[in-house]
Amino acid sequence: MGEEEFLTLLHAEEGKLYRIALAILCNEQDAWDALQQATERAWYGRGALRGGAGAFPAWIKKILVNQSLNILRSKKRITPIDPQEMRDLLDFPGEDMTDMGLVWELVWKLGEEHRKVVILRYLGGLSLKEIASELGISLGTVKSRLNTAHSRLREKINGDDH
Amino acid sequence: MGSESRDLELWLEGSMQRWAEQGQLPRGKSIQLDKMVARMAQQEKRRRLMRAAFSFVAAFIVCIWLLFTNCPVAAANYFSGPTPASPFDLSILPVLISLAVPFIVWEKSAGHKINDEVRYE
Repeated sequence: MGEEEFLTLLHAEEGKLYRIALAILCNEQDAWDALQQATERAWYGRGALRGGAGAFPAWIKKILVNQSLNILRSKKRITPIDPQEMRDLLDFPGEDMTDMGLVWELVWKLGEEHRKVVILRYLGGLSLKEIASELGISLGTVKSRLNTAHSRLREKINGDDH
Repeated sequence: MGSESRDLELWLEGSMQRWAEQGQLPRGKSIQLDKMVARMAQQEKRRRLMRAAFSFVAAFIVCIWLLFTNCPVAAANYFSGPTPASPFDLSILPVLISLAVPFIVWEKSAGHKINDEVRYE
């Protein structure tokens, strides 16, 4: 894969990748670092990409999620960020209450531990086993956190209906 | 619980993925990525060229060394020129060409097999 083809594929994904990193890391600088590191690894590792251009989005997303998790591990703990600041950063459409806005409102109200599992599962596309291994917790804990998150979300959705 | 939970999962996943897909990287950062990739491509080209040059020189030295150690007549001819007693003429150009052609072919085919340092299934 040449420079031009790599850049075309990268530009098609960069916005999405940046948002995923932002959601995982909750910090602009860290998200940007993760995206740069992922780009570098993808460039030097592109010989290992199987499946051609069609496989690129999933492949680079996996690299980005791994890089984001590396950064997360190296920082040990995320500094809690102000919800309004995070809302601006993630630019989620809260006002019109579309599904996307509603999801983020709900997800953001979960505690950090539950939110992290939900984000890695549904945005990062990690399996439950991978989440357990990445976060250094047991598979049972991941399932339990996910179930709790589902229950809370369901409660909030039902609460909003009334 | 099964189908309700699955619906919730699908809704969550779909909404979050749509949100991510609508993301746009600020223009300045996108340009920075361009420059970064261009720099890496340049470095890679330079590295490949250097590797090819060094490998070629090494191969050439080894061949000459093998030739001279195994054929003293050729060595003597090379340093003093052909004599009526030993009429062989060792010209360096055919040796260079006969080494360079297969080497370039090998280098080109090997270039496609390099870079397996990152493997994500």
